[in-house]
Amino acid sequence: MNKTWTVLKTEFINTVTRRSFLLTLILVPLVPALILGALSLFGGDQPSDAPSLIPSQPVVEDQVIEGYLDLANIITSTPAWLSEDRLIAYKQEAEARQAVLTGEISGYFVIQSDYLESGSIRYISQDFNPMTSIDTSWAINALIQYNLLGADQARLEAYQNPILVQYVDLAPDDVEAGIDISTSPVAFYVPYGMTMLFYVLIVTAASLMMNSVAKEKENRIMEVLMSSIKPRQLLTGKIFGLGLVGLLQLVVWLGSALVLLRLGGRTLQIPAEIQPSPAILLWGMVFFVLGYLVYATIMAGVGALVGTVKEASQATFIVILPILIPLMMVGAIINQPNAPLPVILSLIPFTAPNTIMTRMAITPIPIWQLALSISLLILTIVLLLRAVAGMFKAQLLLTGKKFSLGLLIRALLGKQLAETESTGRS
Amino acid sequence: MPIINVHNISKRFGETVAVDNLSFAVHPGEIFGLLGPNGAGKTTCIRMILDIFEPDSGEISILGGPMTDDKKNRIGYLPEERGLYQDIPLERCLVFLATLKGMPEKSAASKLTEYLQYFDLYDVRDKKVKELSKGMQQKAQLISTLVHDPDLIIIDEPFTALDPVNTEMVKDILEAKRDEGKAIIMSTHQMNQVEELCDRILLIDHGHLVLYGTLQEIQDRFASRDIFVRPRTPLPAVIEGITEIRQMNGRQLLVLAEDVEPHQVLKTLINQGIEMTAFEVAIPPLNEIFIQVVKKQARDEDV
Repeated sequence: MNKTWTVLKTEFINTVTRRSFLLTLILVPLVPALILGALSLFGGDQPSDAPSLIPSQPVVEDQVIEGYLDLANIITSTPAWLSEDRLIAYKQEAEARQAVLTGEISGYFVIQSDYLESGSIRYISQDFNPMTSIDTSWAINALIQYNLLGADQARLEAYQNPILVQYVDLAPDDVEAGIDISTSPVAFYVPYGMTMLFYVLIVTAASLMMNSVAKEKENRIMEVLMSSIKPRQLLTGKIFGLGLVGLLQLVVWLGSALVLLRLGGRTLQIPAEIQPSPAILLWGMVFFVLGYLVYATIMAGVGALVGTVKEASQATFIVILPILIPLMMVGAIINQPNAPLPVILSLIPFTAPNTIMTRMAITPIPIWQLALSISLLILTIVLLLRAVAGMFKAQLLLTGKKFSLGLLIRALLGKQLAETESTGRS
Repeated sequence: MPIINVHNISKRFGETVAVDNLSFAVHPGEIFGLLGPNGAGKTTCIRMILDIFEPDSGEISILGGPMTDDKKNRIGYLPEERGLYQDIPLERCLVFLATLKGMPEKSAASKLTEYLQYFDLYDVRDKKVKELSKGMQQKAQLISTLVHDPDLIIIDEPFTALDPVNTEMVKDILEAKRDEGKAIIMSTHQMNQVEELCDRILLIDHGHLVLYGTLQEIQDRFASRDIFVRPRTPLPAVIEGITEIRQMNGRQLLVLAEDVEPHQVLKTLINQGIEMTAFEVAIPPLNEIFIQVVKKQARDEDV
């Protein structure tokens, strides 16, 4: 126990005093904090009057001014968000023509008298450019839509986005309606950020584990260690030591993300309901620890198998593939956090940690799912720890092999590796 | 009571027999040479003593019984494949290894200071291990082998990468440890060091015991029937009991006839009034014994 503690302490201190680790730990939250600070300094915090749903307005560097003649008499009013000087109404075509010639406006639309039947609109400008004409027509487009819908802002919004589905589970009472993520683009990024965060946290900590074992093999210090402590003590000390490193990273990153979201919520106009609650920090710690244990244990096994750090890193990609699945499906998970796919991913131990955390950032998760997911994770961890502890034997730790998934699985299953492979140096 | 008692141990890796039915003992206060050609099974043997590998059969008693965690703290091991943590400062690395041997951090640090000064590494204690030269790293490893004052020291090729000055320092330490009553197992291919340091040796080949005993016994067993003399007056052309006289670097090699013992020749020479500055029985260098034995083993295997 004493020696396990020594290993734990040394792993922790050696990792957190590494300059690269400290830099990552501090810079990751610092960069968004600085961006947020800059945003609020440069007027990002001015509340905008714009309704959340205006026809998609293309970004045009120089705001063009255009005119129109309404021969069909369909334009009765102009909405507030379409400013007067963006689209100027003319009664006489001669006036409009004059304005084009003097450069006052870049062109003008003529809504033909038979517009309602033919839909015909002419656009007159000095130099016709098919590329820009498409871009510049959004204003007249929006104006006509607005007026055709009876100059009613609500109708326009409904017309623009006719379907706003809120996914509500029928069964569980403890689950409130999902949050409508379409109300703010930021609402997408909070759960997305959570997926990324958990991916990075788990993969970083697990890779530290693999590196630590592989380095001891590569530096040929393993034999001295073996003469002092049992391989299992070494494994236990490493798992806990590096787990603490990961937890530290999680608390610093997730904690500062929560603070940033609170502070920056106004700046970025994040609706209050999608601000994650501090309870997510606790759940985050639970699922980080579980996810870490799954992957760190496998990575320790990989480290025990291969001979060099380089070979170990090549194996990393294969091992972390499962945790990439929630990352690749993040769009689907965020859109329908309680659909079958995210639920299944939440229950598979290899994808559960970051799927659960992603969903949790958007919607409450039924207790039974959390309980089942945690139970399955614990079961997997126990089985993996047993298998890897079986691999942590001198014969394997003192030799190096070429990594393959098959070899790892065979070793995890406790199969005797081919005799030639396991021949120790004598 | 021996510190190590190895009884009929065997170990195979798949088809390869690494150690075959080997028995020997190591006593306190001796330097014990574990010798053998490459691949003879020396490292496997050491690893079984250290409980890194379990023997397939046979028994090892160490410090009076089977290996325990506490006993591991009373052993210092310098493996042939050297290694230290490369990315951390030397002192932190050594403190960690010492605490793994059960030393409290504080006493480890003060004892390490003594050793670092002795080995002239004190000034580089804050440097990362990878910045140190090979010789320095080797000395650092010796420190971690010795710092916890082990009762049993097992060292594999302790002199590689060391210059003559450092070699002498290491030899002095090993002899001092022997005089303190510690048991030292030294595995090396440098036969001159074995001749200088070892009290007893075990020579193995292909996992078998080939030679085992005190250095003296073994050399006597291989002693040829020759005598070296360094005469001051010319030797007579014919000496009783000598079949041949050869000139060798200022010395004369006298080849003894059958049934003649060296002391009889000495008597004859003195009686004939020959003045000599040296008269010695030609003990074969260990190096030659080693080569002779290993070659014979190979021939026997072929047959």
